[in-house]
Amino acid sequence: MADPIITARNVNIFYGAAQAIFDVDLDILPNKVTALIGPSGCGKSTFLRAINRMNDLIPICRIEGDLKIAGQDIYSPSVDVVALRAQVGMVFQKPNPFPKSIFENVAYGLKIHKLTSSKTELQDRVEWSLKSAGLWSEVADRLNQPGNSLSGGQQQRLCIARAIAVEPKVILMDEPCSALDPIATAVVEELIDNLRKDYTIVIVTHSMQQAARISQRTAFFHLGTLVEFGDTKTVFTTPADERTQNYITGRIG
Amino acid sequence: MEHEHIVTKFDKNLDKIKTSIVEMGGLVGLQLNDATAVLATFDAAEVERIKTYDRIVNGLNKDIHDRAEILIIRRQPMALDLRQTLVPINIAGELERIGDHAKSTAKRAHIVQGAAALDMIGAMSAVVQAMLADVLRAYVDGDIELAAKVRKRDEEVDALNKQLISSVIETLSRLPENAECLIHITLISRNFERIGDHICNIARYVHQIATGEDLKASV
Amino acid sequence: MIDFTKKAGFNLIRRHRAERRFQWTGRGAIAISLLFLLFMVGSILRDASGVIRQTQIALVVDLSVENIDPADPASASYGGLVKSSLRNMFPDVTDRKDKKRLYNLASPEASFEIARMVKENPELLGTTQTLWVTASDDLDLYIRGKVDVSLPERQRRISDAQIAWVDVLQSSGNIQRIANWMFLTNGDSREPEIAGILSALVGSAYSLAVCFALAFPIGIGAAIYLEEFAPANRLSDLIEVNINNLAAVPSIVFGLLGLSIFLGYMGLPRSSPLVGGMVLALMTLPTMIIAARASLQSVPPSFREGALALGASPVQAVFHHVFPVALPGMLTGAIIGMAQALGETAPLLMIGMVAFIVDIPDSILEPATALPVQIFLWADSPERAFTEKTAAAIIVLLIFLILMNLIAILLRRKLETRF
Repeated sequence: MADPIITARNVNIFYGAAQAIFDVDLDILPNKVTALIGPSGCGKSTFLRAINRMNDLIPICRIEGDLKIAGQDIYSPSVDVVALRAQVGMVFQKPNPFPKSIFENVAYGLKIHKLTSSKTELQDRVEWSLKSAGLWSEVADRLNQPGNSLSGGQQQRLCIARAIAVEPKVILMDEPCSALDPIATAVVEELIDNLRKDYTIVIVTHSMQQAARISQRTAFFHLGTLVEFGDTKTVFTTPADERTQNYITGRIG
Repeated sequence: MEHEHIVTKFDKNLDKIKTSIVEMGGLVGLQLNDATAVLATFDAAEVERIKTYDRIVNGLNKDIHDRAEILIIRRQPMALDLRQTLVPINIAGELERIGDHAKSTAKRAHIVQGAAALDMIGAMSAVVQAMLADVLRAYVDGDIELAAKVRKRDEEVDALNKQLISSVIETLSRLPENAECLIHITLISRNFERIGDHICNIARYVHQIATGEDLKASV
Repeated sequence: MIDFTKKAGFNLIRRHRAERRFQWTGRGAIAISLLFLLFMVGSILRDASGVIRQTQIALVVDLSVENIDPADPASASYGGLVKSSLRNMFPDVTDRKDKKRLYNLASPEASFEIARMVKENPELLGTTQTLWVTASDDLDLYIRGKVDVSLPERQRRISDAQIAWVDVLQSSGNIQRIANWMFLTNGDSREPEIAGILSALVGSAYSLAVCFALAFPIGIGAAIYLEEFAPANRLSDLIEVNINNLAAVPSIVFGLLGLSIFLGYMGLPRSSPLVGGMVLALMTLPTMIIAARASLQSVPPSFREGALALGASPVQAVFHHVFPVALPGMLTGAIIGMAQALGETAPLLMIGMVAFIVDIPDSILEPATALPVQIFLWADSPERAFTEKTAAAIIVLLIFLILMNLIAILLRRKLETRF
């Protein structure tokens, strides 16, 4: 088994005086889809957003413990959060394309990080990203139209294309399909499975079926603690902890 | 199972599968009992009646399939629920085969009338009937200890079977003219031995439902 | 049976009645406010109608070399020419008092007008010409029938003798009425017939330009910092509360502030649009900041998050994604603030923009006045004709305002992005 790319040790996260995450130890393996599941308010999103330090935006949010990506403590003072986020992309619950053209949406990350040296290279990279996101055939002839003219599922794939354009190591997804219809969800799920070859994906989802379908590893959070973490098949067939069993079978726990 | 589902219909659906299994098990138990009785005192009409059990049992088997299908479509059961939905299909299969063995036993009743070995057959029947009752209770309660006891008790059936076969061999050399009856006695004994095995399988399924561990695969 | 047409149940009759009552109350309120508006605009338009045309009087002027030195036409006494021309038309007027009344038929501006004509057309020199010059405001009012001749002579501004002369002039075709462009092209004057709005208009435009140039960038900068970057602490809260309070401070206080700081301490030119604009900028800033912050707040946080998650720095996230979306809203806020500033009089009075300014200012450093101040000045003047000027100035102010709003709407439509 490959070495974990993300390692969390004794991670505690606080919102002011309230503690949201208690002593979480978690190893996320590269080129695998890791699903974080659990009831609302269990801290799974908080933990996800700690991985690319999006929690920094919340002034009262405080994190303790060790959270390393590829061996580097991402909360060390020497880490530049901009560089971190360039390597750890994120896709949000609601598709949030920028109010710009489809092309500009994908090109934005490349432009700010100056990842391309010429206009043709930029165009190639945008095309490559859109192809990787399985969107190219649908938008190739209308790259200059606004990103929000696309359907919800296409918008979400555009956001994924935008995230992979800068070739991050890790892609975090915060309930990426919760606003999509089943067909669009299936397309995004297929995409996630394809992306696994090149990226490490951590996904928060409320759909147990989705977690079971697309992830190889599943972590169950409950009341801010990591209750169970293991192979998805094991977690969904023979969970070790009764809380996990109660949650995934829809019982009053 | 201490916790109830948030969706109460879920519990009801699962309970219905359970009830069908218990009903089917009860029916098969009755069939066994009747088949054993008809061995002692032959009654052609009774044999015909025992044969008809089969149709009801098959109907129940289809019921269980349908219920499991609907439950999977509606509720997408996970973990324990998934096993509680899927494994009963196998249990129903085992029960159906027990029913077949009971029928086969009843069909041989007219040949074996008054045979000396019927006492041992009766003893075997008593053991498997008790095992069946126990395994059904274990299934309803999710009692894996009781299921283990049931599996253990199969040895009794096997021992009785062996004992009967050696006694049949011994009698055969003494009274070769009784060969036909003795062969059928042997086949009946084998039926009960098979029934014991099926009950054992059910006990393993009970264990699998509760723990997710498949004893057949691991042992 | 179920009957969906029945009105008796569910208290329906009363509920429907209440609904109708409310709708009619609303319509009534709108009708009343429309009525007030119509009344206001109507009365202003009626008052201002007199300004559309001006009255001119034809003078036969002897431009011979005896009267005007061709070498230096500017030195001639054009006033005397006007007077002699009028005297020639009515030779039987001899009394000194009557002569003065006669001279009053023409505007004091008439002599300057002749001087200008001579300057522009030197070939007129040495000839005798019939020239049209501006008539006095009293004559104008009389011609338009605004003078109640049934009143005793002493209670009106135009005497019986003057009326007789005017009638003679009118019957001989020596009085005409033409479109009054002077109102839009002249500066202020003591004489209502030639007083114009241009100097005030230019003063206002300069002041507003200064105000916008100062308040918009500062306001938006402050708003962006406070909204996007300022740490949430007591100081930020204090600043926010104070900005909100400042928006409610009477404008005259800003005038006093401008008087003491810009004029007293910094020594900037008094009465200038520069200082006026600065004071208006002070006054407008809180409004702009509040509007800009509201506009920033209305930008979905998902844009910000999306950009940050891609590795954009906070400044990039704000300026690439949040600011462009918020800009139309900020502009709207800015225009509201500017409209407020356009109508403001009190702070301008404090910094001396109330002065009587005839000349049209050429730069923001020259003394000027502003539209509302001009309106205030004219409304304060005793001459009857200034009432009309006041109304006309109000219309100019309103048009200015509408134009500003129009520009804002066009800009917003151009900049607005759908999301």
